[in-house]
Amino acid sequence: MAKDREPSPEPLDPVLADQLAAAAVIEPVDAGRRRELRARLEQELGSLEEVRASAGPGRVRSRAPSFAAGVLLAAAAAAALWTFAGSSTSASVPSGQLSGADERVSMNIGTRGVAVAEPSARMSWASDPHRVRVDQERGQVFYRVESGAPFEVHTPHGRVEVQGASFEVDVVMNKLHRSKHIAIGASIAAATVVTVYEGEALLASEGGTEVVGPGERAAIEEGGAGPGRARSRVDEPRQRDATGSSARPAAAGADELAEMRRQVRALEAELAAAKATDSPEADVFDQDAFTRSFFDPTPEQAREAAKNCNISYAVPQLGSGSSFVPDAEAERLGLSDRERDDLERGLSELSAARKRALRELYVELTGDDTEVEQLSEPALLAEIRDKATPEETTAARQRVSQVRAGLALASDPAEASPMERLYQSEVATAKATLKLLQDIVGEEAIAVLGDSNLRLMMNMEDGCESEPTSAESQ
Amino acid sequence: MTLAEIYNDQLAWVLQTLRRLGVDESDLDDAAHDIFVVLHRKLPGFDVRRPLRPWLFGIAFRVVRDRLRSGRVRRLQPVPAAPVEASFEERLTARSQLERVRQALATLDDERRATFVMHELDGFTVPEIADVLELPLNTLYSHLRRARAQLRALLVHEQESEHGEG
Repeated sequence: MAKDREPSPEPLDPVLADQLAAAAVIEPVDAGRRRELRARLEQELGSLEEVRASAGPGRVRSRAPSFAAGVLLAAAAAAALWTFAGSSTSASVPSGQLSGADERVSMNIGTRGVAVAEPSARMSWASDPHRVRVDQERGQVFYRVESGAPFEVHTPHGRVEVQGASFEVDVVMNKLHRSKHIAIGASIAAATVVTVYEGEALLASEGGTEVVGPGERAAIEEGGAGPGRARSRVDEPRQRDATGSSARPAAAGADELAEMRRQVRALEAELAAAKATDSPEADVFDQDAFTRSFFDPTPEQAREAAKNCNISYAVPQLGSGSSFVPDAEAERLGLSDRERDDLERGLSELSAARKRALRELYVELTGDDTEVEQLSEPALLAEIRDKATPEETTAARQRVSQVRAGLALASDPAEASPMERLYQSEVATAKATLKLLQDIVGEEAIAVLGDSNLRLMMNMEDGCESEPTSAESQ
Repeated sequence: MTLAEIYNDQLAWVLQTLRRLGVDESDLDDAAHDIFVVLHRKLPGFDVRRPLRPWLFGIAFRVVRDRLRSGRVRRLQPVPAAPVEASFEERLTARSQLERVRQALATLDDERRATFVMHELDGFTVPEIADVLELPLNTLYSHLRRARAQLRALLVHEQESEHGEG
């Protein structure tokens, strides 16, 4: 699939996911064993009731014990909200965006809403007196919305609409671990999982609509049947179990099966390419080779990548951090103060140049230079991508991967598509980043990068066939 | 949040985590006991606004690692697990599958196994795992990638070979 992804969040092989399903089930503990263990503990420690966490608000207990895990999150999130709302920074924010913060972030949305985004959530929002629209691309976000005009959260899979509610939206992109929400260990292609704590939410997708009430959870799942159209559906609301999970219908649909089979084929191809790319010893993972492929692939790596129209790169991106070279990282690398300054300055310059290039592309494509200074790099990237058709994106990936492998000449910039120029710019920045590291750290740079906590954004896309955009799939 | 509440809500998950981390069934109760003893000491300093399970997992991971190193627990001897309402055939299948998974997990080294279990089975984010295991993000990505490859080789390729031979 041609999607942005961090190094790890590749979809888990559905066949492996299926194998792991057994281990995802939490085995119940029989009452005798539970009593025996507790008695042994209390004999040593005294009453377990008297030991209590001291910081923060206490847990909110639900009528159903099984609801506790979810409510804990709600209580924690709400505490963060009220703290924020009561501070001097609680002015309404008519529009904004958040991209991959390192920590939980609380924010006001319009005049009626507050959101608490978990790390890595990616979202943007815009509001006027009649409507609030949030576009949540990924991650987990808790919302509290006061009654009033429609408040909508759009995700790649559908729309969640409320008029006053507390709820959580989790945009899942093909992860087994989301079994805590939906399945008992089963893999899902992608889904938006909505949990309502107070009020009601309307879930809408191409497959229909569903009203979800307090204490209920529902999912809009993508059940795409291949590179053609993706189809979505709204499942029945489900009650949570002891871990906050919910039951899923046992039978997988034909569409889901087809999607899983397609993923297996894609993953097997990817695995074969990775083996050939990573190491001459097929089954031995070579971390350095993997790292290198993101910055300056070897000719062999580049040729393998070109076969699959793969574009991998890592570029400096500060995100919510304040330094490209955090203290601990400078210490780990054994950098002198001067070397650290040089690295910080070099990465800052590369990042600034990259941002300028992204802004120029954005203005060229949108003709709008009024807000470009306020847009983050991920937002600029998203906007640039949105302007390209899947075919243009695939063609650009194919061309640039071939250029990287020396199999084609770079297009004349005057004739290259915006996506092609985007990829060219990104891979050039990646190469310059490695050069900078090598100048400062020496030939150890590749090994250093493999375990580094430098502020780098890594991206990998591949596939020589065009797929529908998320907008088209709705 | 009291220790009793955590005990009531999380005991099953703690035991499951111990199994996933390679603790033999006969040592589970002792290891769980150790975890709650550590919890007893640390809970007053725990901020309840933080997610509980990653923190709890970190304690479990360290308890298991220490016990394995000191030889106070044995490595995995898988046990069956199937719902009581399942048919005999279903239980046999579940047992076989669970044994395979546990044995495959047991082949991973400690950090890689913990990373894989936390991310793929418990659903923790990589930053959460980094916080708990105190490892760099890229190390964790590497652990995940290697663990996936290793488990795939053990669980998927083996099965395909068996089917091919059959």
